[in-house]
Amino acid sequence: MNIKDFVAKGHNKKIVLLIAIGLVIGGVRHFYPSMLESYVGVVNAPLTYSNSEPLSERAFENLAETLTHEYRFNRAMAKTKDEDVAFARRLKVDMFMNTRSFDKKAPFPHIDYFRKAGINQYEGPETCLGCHDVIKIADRHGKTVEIDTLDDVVNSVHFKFQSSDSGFSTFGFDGRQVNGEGTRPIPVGKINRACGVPGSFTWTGWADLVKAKPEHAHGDIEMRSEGCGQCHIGGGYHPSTEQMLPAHNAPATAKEGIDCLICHSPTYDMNQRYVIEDDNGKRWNQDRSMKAALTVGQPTMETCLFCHQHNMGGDLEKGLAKGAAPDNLGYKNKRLLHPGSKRGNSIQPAHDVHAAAGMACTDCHRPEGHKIPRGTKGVDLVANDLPGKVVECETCHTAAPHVKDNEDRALLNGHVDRVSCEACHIKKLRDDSVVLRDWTHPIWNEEEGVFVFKDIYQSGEVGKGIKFLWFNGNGSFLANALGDNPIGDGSYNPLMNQLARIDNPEVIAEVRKSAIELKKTYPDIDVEQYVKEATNPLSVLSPEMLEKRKKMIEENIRPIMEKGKSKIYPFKIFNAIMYEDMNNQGPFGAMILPFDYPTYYETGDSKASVKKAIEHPIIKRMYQAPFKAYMMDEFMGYFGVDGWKAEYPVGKDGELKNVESHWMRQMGSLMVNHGIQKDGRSCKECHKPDGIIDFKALGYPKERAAELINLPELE
Amino acid sequence: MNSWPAKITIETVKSIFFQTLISAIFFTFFLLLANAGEANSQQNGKCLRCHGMKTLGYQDTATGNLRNLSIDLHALAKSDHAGLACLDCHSAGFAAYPHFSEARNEQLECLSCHKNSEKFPRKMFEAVERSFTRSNHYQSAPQALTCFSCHDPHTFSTLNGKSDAGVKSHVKRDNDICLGCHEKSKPLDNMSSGGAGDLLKKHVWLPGVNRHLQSVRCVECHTQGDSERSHFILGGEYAVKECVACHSRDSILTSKLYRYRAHEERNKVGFIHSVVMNDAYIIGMTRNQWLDWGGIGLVILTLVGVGGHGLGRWIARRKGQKL
Repeated sequence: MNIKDFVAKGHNKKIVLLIAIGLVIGGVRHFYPSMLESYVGVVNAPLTYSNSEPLSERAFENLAETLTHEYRFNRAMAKTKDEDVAFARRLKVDMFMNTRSFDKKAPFPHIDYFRKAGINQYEGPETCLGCHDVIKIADRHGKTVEIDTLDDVVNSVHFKFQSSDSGFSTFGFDGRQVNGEGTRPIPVGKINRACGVPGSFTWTGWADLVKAKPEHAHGDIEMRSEGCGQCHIGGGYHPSTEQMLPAHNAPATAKEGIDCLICHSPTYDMNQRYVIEDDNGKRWNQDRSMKAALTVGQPTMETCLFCHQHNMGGDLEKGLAKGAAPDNLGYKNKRLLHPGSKRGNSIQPAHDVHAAAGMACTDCHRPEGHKIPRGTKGVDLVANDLPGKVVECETCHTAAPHVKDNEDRALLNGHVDRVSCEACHIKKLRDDSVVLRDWTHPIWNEEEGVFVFKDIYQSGEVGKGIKFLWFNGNGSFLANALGDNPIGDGSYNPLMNQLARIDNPEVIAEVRKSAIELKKTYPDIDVEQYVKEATNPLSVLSPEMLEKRKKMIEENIRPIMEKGKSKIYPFKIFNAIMYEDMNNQGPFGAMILPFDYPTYYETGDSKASVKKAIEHPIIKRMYQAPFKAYMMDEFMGYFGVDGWKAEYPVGKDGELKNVESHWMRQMGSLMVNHGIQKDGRSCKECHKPDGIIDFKALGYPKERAAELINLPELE
Repeated sequence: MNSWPAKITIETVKSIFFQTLISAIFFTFFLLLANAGEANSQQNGKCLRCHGMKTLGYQDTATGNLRNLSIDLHALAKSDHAGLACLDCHSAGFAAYPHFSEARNEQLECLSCHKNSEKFPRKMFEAVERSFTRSNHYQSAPQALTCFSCHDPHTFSTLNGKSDAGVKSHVKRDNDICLGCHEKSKPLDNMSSGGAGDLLKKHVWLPGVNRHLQSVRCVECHTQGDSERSHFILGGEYAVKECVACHSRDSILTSKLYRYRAHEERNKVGFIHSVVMNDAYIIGMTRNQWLDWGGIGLVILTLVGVGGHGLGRWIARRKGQKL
């Protein structure tokens, strides 16, 4: 019987059809991931780490002894404290330290687990999952459930950097809640939000090697590591791109790159965190040593700060714990430090009561498995693993938190209804908190030997780097705190006032000073115009655009401002001047374009750096129809722009087209919740004429504002 | 047309004089009244600037309990005491901040206003006082409880005349007063002889206990007699425990909370219906008015049927006789 006859038979037809369908599905499943990879121009390959080495039995025991030495020694000393003869004591201590049962309670129980299981090499997640393939977690209702550990990690925000789910506290300027009702959910989060702090996107600035000529090298080139990937728990050649593309999971190789130890090992060596280059491209190295593996446990504040130091006290903070990221920049290709801290709220014991109390981050941010809550409030576009799970002062401190001051405690508690704890208990941020950052005019940094952005203004002071705003927990798509005065006269409008203008004369003078300094390198700068645009970014909007802005605020944003319960919160304000794609401009700003770090740092040619960055395939795809339909139209809707104009911003002549440098049309406001000080503000700091709070600007009716700055009780 | 009187007589002058005088007196009176009102609200505004803060309060150092100093402005405006100035009850020392010593030593008595006053029904508060002092609340710890322990003068408003809400909401409001101590507070376990901590356990004999607690006020069973005597709280051992005390034609409930409502209903549906049919779930024999009418209808139809039949036969017989 030949094939023709076989196919011709009735029931055989069905079999052939099934086989054909199977082949097609199998083919698609097999080829689809690699098709996607090549479409967006990312690479996946098996990941190896040179410090993942097997230990001999003797080396293992030596390491184990070193790690527990301090514990055993202290315990032996305590046991022998009554022994008067020094020599006898020495011998006893020695004996105790080598008594087998003596270190049963020693720290790092994994030493014994590894010893018994015969594990002598740490090979990444594979090693951890050997025992921890499933974990039991308590869900929100206190019920214990068993979950797949790898799935849990791969689907956490720490790995994927985005979420397509609802649960964002962010609202678009079109009035829609991000991925909420009336939207087509798209992946958004750190992976793709437009932000002027890092200056690049996660794809265009993932892992880079920069040729620096630092002062101490006397003209020699030293390599420096830079990129978003330094804080990502995935070890691949790009962020977890696949997870934000339709119907595709992270590939197996990406999962092998998960860095369990950076969160779980207090002895993780941050000097292992630098960019390495192999045949497939550049990626970040990890500490996969047995030393780090043997000391695993629950995350501590120190392990969280390996990454989060950057957005707490910043890279330049001194006096950090041993092993902290800024003090351990890499055995080679040292990481570049970032001057100008993003939030400037230090969580070191000297500046934060909770750190001083020795608390762990997870005491307040109580995880469910590997999902970590960030609270119900948020102004920035960062995905939330556990929307609805609160992280609040009140959880521990109750609604009547002031207990000591017998005189005024009731009155202080009275303020809780309208004033956030942070407003009084964060009195100052770090001095190097960046308020205005110029990416378009890089300047040469002698010491580091690279061109860096210029921070036009830094301050952690109230009224300069900190502004007080009403906040109901929601934010706009460009990180503006939303809220309204519950007894206001309707005049409160931060998007036209507080966040759109800097009017403190001292700040303006500082900005002018910086502009004059920049002019030395960039003679074309018109100082007065520069100061005007930096301190009044609305001045560049056309009258029509300004009208549209006012209308959108009233129609789309005000209803969100009036939602829920607002309180006065302090916000760290920030704005940056970057290159923008003016085809995609709206009343609140235009799509910013990323920089290529090596070009930027090495040449100081900011435009060339943009041109290089947007050559990345995924940026090109962004400017094509499929991405426009898949997510860009929706994204720009939130941005306050009607539809994405997919016109690649480079002309035929190879020059940037329709690209201009601008400040975002309003300052972003970043939540500050750490760096809590024990003593709050005194009454008179706010309740006096020219106090730190401008009650009129916060929308209080005239009489009430007058009353609030002149309270008879304070006489 | 000239509006002046054509001829000015002594009567006209007198009349104008008196009219002016009366106007002046009224005007002065209104002015005084208005001033008093304004002064009240100004003075109250001063107090309420702080005491209107929703979270004004502190944790009591001795007990750790929250001491709430906040006054619900909305409830205050609707309360029976809305027209008073704060300082009408609180001493002059409270006019300035801080007033801790005043607060510590303050001893307010409701009865100083409410007793022997013509504003209230004769002997009403005297009766309340009498029943309270005989009650278990007073007898077991004479100094521990005052009127304020249960009634917040800043929100208190009487039931009568404002009861557009259903019985259940009144029941809840009143029972919340009791439960405020008897359910939530632990120290009470030691204070009262029986220990009132686990309320449901104590009432386990009562069928449908939750439904009872939602529909009947605690005081219905734990006091005796009419509404003034609802302050005469008895110990648990004297509480009403017989089902038929309520579930009967002469239910004791008709004389308590439901008296007012029963009165209202009586006007609406008549005495008999009001006693046996009401929106509370237990009292008397709950009956359906439609069933009543249906029953009566059936009786009438039967009578009509029987009568018609008889009449027909009678007519038929007469015709038969004639034939």
